[in-house]
Amino acid sequence: MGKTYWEAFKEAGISRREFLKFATYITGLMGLAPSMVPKVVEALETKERIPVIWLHGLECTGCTESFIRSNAPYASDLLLNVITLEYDETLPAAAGILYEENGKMVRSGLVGHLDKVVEEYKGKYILVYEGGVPLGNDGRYCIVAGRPYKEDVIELAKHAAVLMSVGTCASWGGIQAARPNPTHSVPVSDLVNKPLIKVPGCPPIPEVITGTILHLALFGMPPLDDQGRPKQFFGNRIHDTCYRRPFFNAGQFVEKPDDDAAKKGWCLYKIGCRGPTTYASCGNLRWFGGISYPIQSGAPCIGCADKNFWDKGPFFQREKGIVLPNVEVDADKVGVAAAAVTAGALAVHAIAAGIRHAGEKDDEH
Amino acid sequence: MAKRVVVDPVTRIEGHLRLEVTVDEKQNKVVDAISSATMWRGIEVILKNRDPRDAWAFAQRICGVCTTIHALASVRAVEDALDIQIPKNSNYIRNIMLATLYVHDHLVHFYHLHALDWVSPVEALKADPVKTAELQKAVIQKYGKIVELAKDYTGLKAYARKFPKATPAYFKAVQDKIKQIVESGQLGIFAPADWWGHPDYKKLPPEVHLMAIAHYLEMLDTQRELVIPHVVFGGKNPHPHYLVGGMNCSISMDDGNAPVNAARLGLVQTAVEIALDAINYFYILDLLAIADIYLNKYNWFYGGGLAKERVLGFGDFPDEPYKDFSKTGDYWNKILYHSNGVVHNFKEGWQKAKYEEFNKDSLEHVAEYVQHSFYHYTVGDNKPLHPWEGQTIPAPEDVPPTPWKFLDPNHKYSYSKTPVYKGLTHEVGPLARYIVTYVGVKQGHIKPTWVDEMVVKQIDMVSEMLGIPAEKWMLSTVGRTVARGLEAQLGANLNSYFLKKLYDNIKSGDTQVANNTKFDPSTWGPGKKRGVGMTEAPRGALSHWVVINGITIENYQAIVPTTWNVAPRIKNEYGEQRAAYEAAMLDTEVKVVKEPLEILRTIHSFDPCLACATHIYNSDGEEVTSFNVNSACAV
Amino acid sequence: MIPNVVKKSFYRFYLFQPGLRIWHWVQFLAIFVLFFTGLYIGNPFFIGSILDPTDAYGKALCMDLIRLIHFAAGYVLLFGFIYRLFLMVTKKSHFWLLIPKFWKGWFWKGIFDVLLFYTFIKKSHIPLVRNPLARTAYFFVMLLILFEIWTGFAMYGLSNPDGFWAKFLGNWTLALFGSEYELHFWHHVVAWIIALFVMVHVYMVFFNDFIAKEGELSSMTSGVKFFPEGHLPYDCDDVASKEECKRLKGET
Repeated sequence: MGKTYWEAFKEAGISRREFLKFATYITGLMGLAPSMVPKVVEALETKERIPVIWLHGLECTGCTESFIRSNAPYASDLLLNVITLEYDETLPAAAGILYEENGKMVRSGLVGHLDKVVEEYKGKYILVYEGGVPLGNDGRYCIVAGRPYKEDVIELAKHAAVLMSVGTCASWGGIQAARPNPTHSVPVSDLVNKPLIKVPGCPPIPEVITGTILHLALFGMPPLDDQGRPKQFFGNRIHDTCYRRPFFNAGQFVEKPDDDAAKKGWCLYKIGCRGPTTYASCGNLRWFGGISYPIQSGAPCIGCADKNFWDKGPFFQREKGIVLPNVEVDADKVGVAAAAVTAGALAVHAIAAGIRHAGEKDDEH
Repeated sequence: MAKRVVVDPVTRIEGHLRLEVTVDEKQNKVVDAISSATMWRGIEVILKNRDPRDAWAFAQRICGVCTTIHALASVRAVEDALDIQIPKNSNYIRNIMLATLYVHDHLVHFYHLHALDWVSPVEALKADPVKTAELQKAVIQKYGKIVELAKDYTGLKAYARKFPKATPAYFKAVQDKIKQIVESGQLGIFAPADWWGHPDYKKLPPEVHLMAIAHYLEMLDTQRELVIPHVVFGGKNPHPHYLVGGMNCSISMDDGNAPVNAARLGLVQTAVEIALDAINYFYILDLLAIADIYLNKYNWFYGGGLAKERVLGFGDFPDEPYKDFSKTGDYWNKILYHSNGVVHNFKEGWQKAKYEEFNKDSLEHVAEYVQHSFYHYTVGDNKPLHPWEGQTIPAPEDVPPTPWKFLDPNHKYSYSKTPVYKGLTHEVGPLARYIVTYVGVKQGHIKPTWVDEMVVKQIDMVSEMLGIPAEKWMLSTVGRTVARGLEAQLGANLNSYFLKKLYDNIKSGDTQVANNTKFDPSTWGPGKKRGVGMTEAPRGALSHWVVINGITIENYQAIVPTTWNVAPRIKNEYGEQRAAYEAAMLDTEVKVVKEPLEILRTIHSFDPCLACATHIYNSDGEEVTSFNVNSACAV
Repeated sequence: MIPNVVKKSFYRFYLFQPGLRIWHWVQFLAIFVLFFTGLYIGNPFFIGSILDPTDAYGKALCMDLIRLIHFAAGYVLLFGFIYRLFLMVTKKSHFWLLIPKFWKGWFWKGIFDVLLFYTFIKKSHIPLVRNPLARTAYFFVMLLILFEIWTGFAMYGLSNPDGFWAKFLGNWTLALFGSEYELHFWHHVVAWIIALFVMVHVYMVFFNDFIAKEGELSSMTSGVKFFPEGHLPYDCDDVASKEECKRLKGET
């Protein structure tokens, strides 16, 4: 995808001779023997790993942690052979360095490198970001290298070839956007008018992150659903692919954590499992190469790949309640109460009608 | 002339951290330092009015690197408030998950977040693979004694499956790959190329660089296997599932669908064995090799900072289920790891240090200041507030307009508050825990458990190997990093110990993992219930404080390890005080002002977790709302 | 009661044709089944707690069976709805039975009159074949039923992400609601609103049958309503056949 160094040099009008001189120079700079020069030249002419810029907004770094848990493909394979992670805040050696020179702040170290990378790979890099974007207080709830994260992500998205939201925060706003959203956080898709891939999950399954990146590298853009999620990973409900589904069908349910039914591995539907409404690969792909997923470990799914799932609690309750001022009550209880009130009103009406009717009859006599 | 330089973003950490140091260029001395947390998410505001049974899920998202620890602190706090005692099995399982976290988090920190401050892939290219293989053998020979402290309690481990490869061909293959990457010009995570110009990268011989880089890659692939206990017991990692009252993972030896049965325990067993190997044969040996050279060859004793004066710990790993924290304080009767205490003045050796135990009666002395934080208190910014009564009202008008040039330390400059214990800032973390336990045992305040004894043995053994007294090597950036490695070794043992206890208890016929008598909120009764949940997170002492009113959370806050360390300065009746980061930076030399590698090293030795530090202040919901309305950028 | 009818010399007015009547009762059955199976799906064993593992089998309350019945009834409701639309376009009176004429003055007067009548403030209301209040209510109920069909089939279809229902309804509906959890919730809430309507509807039918003596109850079985002599409804041309209206107005 990326331009090779040689192509860049040619475009800049630099001669082959100059280019070779540069190659010799950087060979020395890297501390390599002069015999390595031809190889450096070759690399500069042909290198083409996909450049990736990975930004971090209001997040917990759980998505990056999930990324490095992948073993099929290994995160190390991706990092060394498929992509070139040119900017990130979790793994890279360099930090951002800023200092003042002639009254101006110089961006050096990793942030200086970022500026160069964006220039070099304009329109060709993949922009990956985890975390929400706070808009409150002019974006000053998240400041990176002295600038609001909001400005960085909007700016870098402009020149990206592909945008990829990793995690629920980047895709839907996530935990900081839960009621009352004190930082006024939003997903990147609210700010950027560009097609993007959403890989929600808190965090997403490691292989879902690396699988999406691998798909981009091998086959290009993955097929997406109406919400921008890769269909291969978000096409199915967890419920429809759950190994406990037969217990659901048979009406065999866990009523309380660790009851006898829980020991038998029955369906967690009644203690609030969000599997029936959550689209993710937990049921088919599972975690860590198929070892488990929350339901298999006896925990009701909290629907962490679902939009605004944080505000759909309590998690141990099957259905969301109806929110009245200061209280939240079960929809069915509201329904039954409403039915009772209606029946009462109708009975009163009927009695009134009866009296009235009797009166009319009396009038007739 | 003093020059000011900013490090922002500090990478290889969790979250967003900004450092500003003023360096005297002639003496390479740091004359002033600021550490500023630059993000706020407001999770504690969001936690208000929610179901306490869900709090763990919200709290857990404070940090994805030290995942599970906030969930653990949260369920402990809610159980403390509601008087729930968890069953034995869930106590063992939670301890295995915590020990697993120690092992994983410390190892990932050393190789993937800290190693590149010491070793460079560019230097590794100069190494001779044959000599590197020799070096690997020598390292095993020289520091291998410490591996004797490792113990497989289950007795099931046949042999060391993960063992360092000491062959030239292996190192050659790794070197070739690095060569290819460096030559391609696409350095990726090793970019930019000029980063590696710092003179300190020349300190270690090239062979050490190559060995460490090879292990960097190998451990990048191995680390995922270490957290498999989280996946078995909690369903996933990061962010496994917890339960107020125990754990979700029911145990049954009758049913193949059960979350835990013999086959599933086998997965945990394997992970625990791999952890023992990865820590003992890779992590500790590499760590000691680098530490030895830096301390003995280069006399590099910088970065001790606040640890020299005051450290704090809460203690952890309850051997058996405990009643509570805040009512009877039974937790502290049950713990194995007696890092619950405060030690003053360790710099003069354990004999002269002042030890004080931390227990139930200490809870009232914890408080937080907002003097230099982007928050206000209704009682005035100069007064500290106890976390149960704490508040956080963001002060948006005090956040300087962007772009930032330099922060003004005379005003508010961080999203972190300043926690204090008895009015004083303290350093927390593995180093703090090791100092507290060491001094406590040596001075005879603690009746040592096997954990405490192991801590003392490790410290004495390393002191002997290095030929340096404990108070000298420990109180430094290197010492902080070594203490973390030793604790990882302890974690691997604890893992195995509690797995054995779990086996034994299941064998005795007990399969209960949850106390579900109070699962239904209607059993909690009316009124206010206060609780605290404490734990020793990989990064230090962690406490979550909850007030439950009826069936919902009225107030929630956490004082997290990184807050203790990253906090901005304060001034109170005990004088002007700095927290650990700033103190440690002041205690560090900087050779090249525009490449403050030493600063990064020192800060990384704390394993910063900034998302922790910044989300976690409690806030008055109404105030926040009104602030939001006033904010000009509401889109 | 009957002597009253005779005394007042009511006459038979043929309003509902067989197709419409069959549709009504099929609709009623489908809604009845859908509501209770739906409640069960939302909270299995809400009528009592599980006793033993075979309990659900024994009582034929397996989720897959209940869901199958729910889906089958859903299809009945859907085809019923389509049939009703078909009647609407093929027959003018069937069209206006469902569409309120908010733009007509008498329609509003009718609504208020009926309201006053129901609250016993007035003894009678202006002459009508189908009272405008009911017409309005039925219109909105049809919208609610349409909502249930829409959300129901959207959720149903998503078990096969590339199937007809997923493509036709599911994907965009999910995107619109944000998540299926919300979809479940609103489907559930609207089901309760329809249930409340049914309660009021049934009561009003009895009320009109016994108090107003318009033969509401029998009208859905025999198709015939009873009106007193001289009753000249405002909406006759809207909702009844031309012949019946002429007969009513004495034009034949």
